Amino acid sequence: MAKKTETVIETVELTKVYKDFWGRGRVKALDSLSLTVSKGEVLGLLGPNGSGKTTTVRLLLGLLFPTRGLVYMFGRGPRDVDTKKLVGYMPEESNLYSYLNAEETLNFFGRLFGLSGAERTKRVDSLIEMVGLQRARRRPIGEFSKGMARRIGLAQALINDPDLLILDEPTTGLDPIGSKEMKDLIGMLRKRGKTILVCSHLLADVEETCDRVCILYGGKVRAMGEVKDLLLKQEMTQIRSPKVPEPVLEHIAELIHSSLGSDALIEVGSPTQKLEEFFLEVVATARRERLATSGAEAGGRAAEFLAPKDEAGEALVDKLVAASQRAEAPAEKAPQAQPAGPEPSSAPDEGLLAELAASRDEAAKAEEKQEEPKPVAPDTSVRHDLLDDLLDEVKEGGQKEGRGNGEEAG
Amino acid sequence: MKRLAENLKGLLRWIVRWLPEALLLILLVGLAPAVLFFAQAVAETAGKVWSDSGALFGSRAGKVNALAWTVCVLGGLGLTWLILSRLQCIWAVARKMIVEAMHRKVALVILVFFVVLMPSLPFILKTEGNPKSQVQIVVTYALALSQVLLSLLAVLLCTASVCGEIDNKQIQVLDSKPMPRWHYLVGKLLGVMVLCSALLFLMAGSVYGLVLVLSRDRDFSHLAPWEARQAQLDLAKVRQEVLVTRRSVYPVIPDYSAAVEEDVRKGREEGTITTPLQMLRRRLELHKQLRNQFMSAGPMRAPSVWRFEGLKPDPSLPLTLRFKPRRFNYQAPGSFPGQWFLCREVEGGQEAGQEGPSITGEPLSGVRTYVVDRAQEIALPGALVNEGGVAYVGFANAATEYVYYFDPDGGLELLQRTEGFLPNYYRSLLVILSHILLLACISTMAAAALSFPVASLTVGGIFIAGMISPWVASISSEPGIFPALIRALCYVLPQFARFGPIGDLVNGRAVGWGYVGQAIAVLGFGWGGISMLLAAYIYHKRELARVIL
Repeated sequence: MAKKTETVIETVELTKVYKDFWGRGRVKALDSLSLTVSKGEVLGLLGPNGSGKTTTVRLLLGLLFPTRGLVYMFGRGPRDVDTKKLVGYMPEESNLYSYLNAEETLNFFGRLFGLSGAERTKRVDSLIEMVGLQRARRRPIGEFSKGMARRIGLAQALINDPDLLILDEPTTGLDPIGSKEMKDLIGMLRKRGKTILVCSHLLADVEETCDRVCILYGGKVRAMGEVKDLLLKQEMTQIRSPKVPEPVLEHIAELIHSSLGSDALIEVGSPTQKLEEFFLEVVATARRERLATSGAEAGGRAAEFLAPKDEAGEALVDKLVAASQRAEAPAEKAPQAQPAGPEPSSAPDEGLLAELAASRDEAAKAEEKQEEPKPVAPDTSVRHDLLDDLLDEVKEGGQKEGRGNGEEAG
Repeated sequence: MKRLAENLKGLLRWIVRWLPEALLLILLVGLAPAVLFFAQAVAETAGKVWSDSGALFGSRAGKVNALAWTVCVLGGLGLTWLILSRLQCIWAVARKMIVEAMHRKVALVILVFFVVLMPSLPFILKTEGNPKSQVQIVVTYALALSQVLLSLLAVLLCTASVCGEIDNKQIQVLDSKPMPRWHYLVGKLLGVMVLCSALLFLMAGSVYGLVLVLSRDRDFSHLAPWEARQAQLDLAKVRQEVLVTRRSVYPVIPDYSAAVEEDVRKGREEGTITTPLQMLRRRLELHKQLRNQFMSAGPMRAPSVWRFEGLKPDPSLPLTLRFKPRRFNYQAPGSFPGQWFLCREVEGGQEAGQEGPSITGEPLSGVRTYVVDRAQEIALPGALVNEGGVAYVGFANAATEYVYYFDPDGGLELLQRTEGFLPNYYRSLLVILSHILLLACISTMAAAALSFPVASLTVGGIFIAGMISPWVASISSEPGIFPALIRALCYVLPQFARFGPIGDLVNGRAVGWGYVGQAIAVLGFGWGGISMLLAAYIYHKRELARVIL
C-alpha cells in the first residue's frame, strides 16, 4: 500500500489574467495550472522571464487573487493567518527596509510572528550567524551589498521555522560561496522534512537541489516531473562500470551490433542530458509551436543606437559571422545534430575561428560528401593565414570605399 | 576618553532603541486624565440613571453628552481589547512606523520648525499691546500652528508609509506574515498617533511654558505709579479672563415651533404658501425673526429679561456677562445708551394668565454707552444664581429711536468661573488630537486605495472641504435642489470646523468634557471609525502585487 503523503500546496486550474483599468483582460499570466506539492518535497519552478513563475508565487501567497481556479496551502486558503504562520517567503528582490539594520529587521519580523523577547533574541542571533552577518548586524540594510541583503532576506524567511519555504531566485546576487551555502541549506531543510518551492533561472542550482521540477512557458505547464525522470533518455541504455579495457569495449560493441544491427550507434560516456539543455529544448519547442507569452522573447539584434561606429571593425565581424554560418551549415545536416542551443553569439571567439579555419578547406569536400555525413572533428588550431586574408580584404574594401567617398565628395 | 565616547554612543543607541516605547508612554500618561474622567463619568451616569434618569437626560445637551460618552467608552473598550489581544503584531507595525519617521527626519524637522517659530511668535505677531491680547494671540497661533504641522505630519506619514511599502514591494514580504491586513492599517494608525500625540504634548508643554512667562508677576517699580497700576490691572485681566475656565451658558430661547406652524397653516389656507419650498423658506424666516425679536431690546421700553440655566449655585464663583450688541437697521448709530439689570424670581407675584415666575430686578449700574458689534464683558455677583442654578439678566435700551439686539447664537452669554486654565487647556488638546486622529484615519483610507500623490492630494481636498463646509452651507441656505445638494455634501463631509476649541480657550470659556466627548465620538470614533472600516475593506480586497497596466 502506497504511503499517504500530506499535500502542502495544491492548485486546481489556477488561472490569472491581468486586467487593465477598465476591467479588460490584457495578459494571461497563468493558464490552468494544476500543481501538487507534497510534504518534504523540493519543487523547482522553472521558466523564462514572464512565464508565470512569480505570478504563481504571488497567488500562493495571496498577494494576487486568481481569475479562475483554486489555491490551497496546508488545506486552507492562502490568506488564512494560520496558513501564513507555516510559510517563509524570500522574494526575488530583498524588499526590506533600508533604514533598519539586520538585527532590527529580524526583530521586526519576529514580532509579527508573536515570538517572545527571549525566543526572538535567540533566533535572531542564530540566523545572523547562519547567514554570516555577525559583523554587519548593526549596519543599516541600505548599506548592504545585494548579496548581503539576500542573506538577510533568507534569514527573515526562516525566522518562524517555516514548514513551507518559498524561495524566489534564491541564489541571485549571491557569491559562489553564498550560492553553495544556499544549496546546502536547502538540502539541510529537506532533510528536516520541510517543503520547499524554488523559483529559479539558474538551472544547475535547481537540478542539484530539487526533487521535482515544473517548467512553465507562457503561463502553461510544459513539463513536470521528477528531475531524474525528465532527464532520462528512455531510448538509450547507459552502462556504468569501472574502467574497461579497449578490447572488452570492442567486444561489447560487437555484441550490441549483432543484437541491434550494425547501424546501432554506440557512444561511450554519460548519456545523461544536462537540465539546462533539456530546459532550452522545452522552451525552443514551445517557441516553434508559437505559444504566446507575456514575457521576454528570444533576443534580437542590438538596437541601432548601440551599434558600433567603427565601420571597418563592423565589416570584419560581419564577415566572420557570415563565414561561421557557412561553416555550420554542413554540420547542421549531420544526423547527430545537437538539440537547439542558445542563439549563436556574434562575437568571434577562438572556437569560431578554429571552425572557420577548418571550414575553408573542408567546405567543398563537405558539400561533395553530403551523402555520407560524418561528424566533423573540430580542428583547434587557428589558421592565421585565413585571418590575415580576411583582414586584408576588409582593409582594401575600406580603402576603396573611402576613395569612392572621397571621389564623390570631390 | 575613548571609553566615555563609547559609553555615550551606547547610551544614545539605547535611547534610540527605546524611543518608540517612550513616546507610547507619553501618550498613555497624556491620556490618563481623560480615561480617569470617563471612568468617573460612567460611574456617575450609572448612579444618576439609577436614581433620577429624568434629571440627567432631561436636556438635549445631556442626551448628546451621554451618547458621546457611551461611544467613547465603548470605543475605548474596543481599542483596549484590540491592543491587548493583538498588541505585539500591531505594535510591531506601529513601532516600525515611528522608527521610519525618525529615519526620514520628518518629525524632527517639524519639531525644530516649531521650536524655532514658537518663541518668536510674541515678537512677530501684531497685538493690541496689552498682556491679554498678547497671551491670547500667542496661544491661538501656537496651537493652530501645532495642529497644522501635526496634521501635515499625520497625512504625509500615513500616505507615504503605506503607499511607499506597496510601491517598493515591501508589503509583499509583510503580507506573507501571519497578520490580518486590517491589523497592518491599525498599526500604521497607532504609530502615527503615538508620534503625533507625543509631539503635541511636547509642543503644548512649551506653549504653556511661554504663557506662564508672559503672565508672570513682574516688577513695575521702574514705571510711574499710574502706569504700574495699569500694568498690574492688565496682568490681573489675563488671569481673570484668559487663564481661567468659565462655564458658558446662553439665554433660554422659547420654542416657537407651534407659532411657526400656525403661521404656515394660515399661509396655506390663504393661498400665500403653495409649494414645499415656500413652506421651508417661511419656517426658516419666521424662526429667525422670532428668535431675534426675543433677543432684542426696543427703545424706551421695559427691560428685556433673559433666563440662564445650568449654572452652579455657588455664590463664591464669580460671574461675567459677555455681550455683543447688534443693530437691525444699519442707519442706527454705532453706539447707544443702555442699562443692565440684575433680576430674580419673586414668589407670589404672578399675574393671572402669566406663564413662568414673576421677575423683578435692580440696575447693575447707571446708564452707559455700549458699542455695536464689539464683544464686551462686565462682572456680575456670584449670588445672582439661585439654588436651582438659574440666573436672570435684563437690559433696557435707553436709545430713543432704534432697536438693538443680541445674536441668539452667542451674542449674549453668562460665564461662571469653575476652574483654572490647565484643565481647559488639556481638554482643548484632546479635541485637537481628535482632529489629527480623523485626518490620520482618512489618510490611511486614501493610502489603502490610491497612490501616494493622489492619496495626499485627496486628503488635502477633504480637509479643505471639511474646513469650509459650514461656510458653504451658510451661503447655500436658499431653497432649491442645487443648494440642498451642497448642504447635504457639507453635512456628509467631516466637519473639522465644528469642533474648534482654541477660540473658547483663549476667551476663558470652558471646553467641557461633554464637548470633548462629542469631538472624540464624532471625529475619532464616528468619521474616523467609518474611514478605517472603509480602509480595511478596500485593503482586504486589494491585490497588493497587482500589475497596473
